[in-house]
Amino acid sequence: MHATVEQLLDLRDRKPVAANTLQHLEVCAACRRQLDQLKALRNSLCNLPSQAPGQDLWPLIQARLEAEHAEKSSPFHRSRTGIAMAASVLLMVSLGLLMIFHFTQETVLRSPPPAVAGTERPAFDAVSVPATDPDPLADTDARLAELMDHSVLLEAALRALPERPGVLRASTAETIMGLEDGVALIDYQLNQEARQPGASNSRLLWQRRVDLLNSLVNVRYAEVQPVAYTRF
Amino acid sequence: MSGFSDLQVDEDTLAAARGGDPRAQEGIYRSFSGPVYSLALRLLGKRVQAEEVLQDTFVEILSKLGEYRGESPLGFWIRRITLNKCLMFIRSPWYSRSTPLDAMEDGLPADAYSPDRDSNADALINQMALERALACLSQTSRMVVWLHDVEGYTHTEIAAHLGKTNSFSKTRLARAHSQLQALLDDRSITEPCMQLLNNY
Repeated sequence: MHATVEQLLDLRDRKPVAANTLQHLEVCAACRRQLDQLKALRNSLCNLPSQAPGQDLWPLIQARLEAEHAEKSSPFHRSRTGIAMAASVLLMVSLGLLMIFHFTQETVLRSPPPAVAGTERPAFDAVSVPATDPDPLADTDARLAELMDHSVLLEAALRALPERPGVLRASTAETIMGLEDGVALIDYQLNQEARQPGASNSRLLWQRRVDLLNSLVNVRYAEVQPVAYTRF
Repeated sequence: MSGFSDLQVDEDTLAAARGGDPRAQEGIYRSFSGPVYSLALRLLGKRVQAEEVLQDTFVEILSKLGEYRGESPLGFWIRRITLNKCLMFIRSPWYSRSTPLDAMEDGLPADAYSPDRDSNADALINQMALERALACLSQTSRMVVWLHDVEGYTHTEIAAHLGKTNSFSKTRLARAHSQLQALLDDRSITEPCMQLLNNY
């Protein structure tokens, strides 16, 4: 049996391959020819000439940079940063209150009340009573909507945070970049999910998105703290 | 690595560009615009989109130059930003809406790039065939082939960028190579992409 393209690619890239594949290659001219073709194809790809944009885009880039610089150095921008900082604090407090409220409600609903003296089982078990939520699909939809709302709130909190400081720790920058990449990846997966009817990972993906955004808000918030402190 | 590692920018230029000197910034743009544009073009497949990514990439590079610590070569840092910009572009709802599904899967986009026609005849024929074959691959396959074979990314790195598994990246690479070879073996066909689609 001939070697597969995957095995030949491993050979081409000097990765470990099974001994019988190597033995087969010694006696099979067709596989050796295919291996040579794979090597040649990679060389051709690497030797494709560099492309250049059809027009000189530098003036456009320079204009965008200047506009960005002008916006950042304007007094309006500075005062806007202050407003943004205040708004972010307000948002963080609101989010905290919302989460406390949400947590308290969930605890009240899910935890059974104390047992009535003289009886063996609790008087009321909220979790085991299906009447509170008879339709599991409705529950999923409601949870999905809740996660989406939460996601919007967190994104608003992120937008409200002041600009990132010019100097920051490499580890913080890496963490933020990793979290942002994670969110982008989830968005991509959600996008793919939307194209496949019947797919049911949405809730899990939205949950992960909320978790990532939550972490991102925390890191970004911690990151701007010293800057905000010196500015006020 | 498609030109990213071959280029160096001296410390003075880098420092001046960090300070906002337009001439130094332009110097960095002139040095790296080719590799950035080529990578974007090969990943996205359309000139207009590659030019858009080129602009976004350089605005980010030049505004965040202060964040570059020199721990890795400048070319690696720029390549990472370019790749992220391309992925963000592909993930954007605008891109999903503007690109027909056929073009995102296997098929030649309407304004797919064609090679530079100034090259000499033999090289041009081979180059055209390869460029056309590349353009016939699906977005994901093209990205896997280019990142692995040209940019030197590992399957683990590609999988992380695409949110897939290692085996997905390996399988895609093998499949893409089979497709490329099939296309290159039969250059005379008028619409290779359609024939290829029927075979896979």
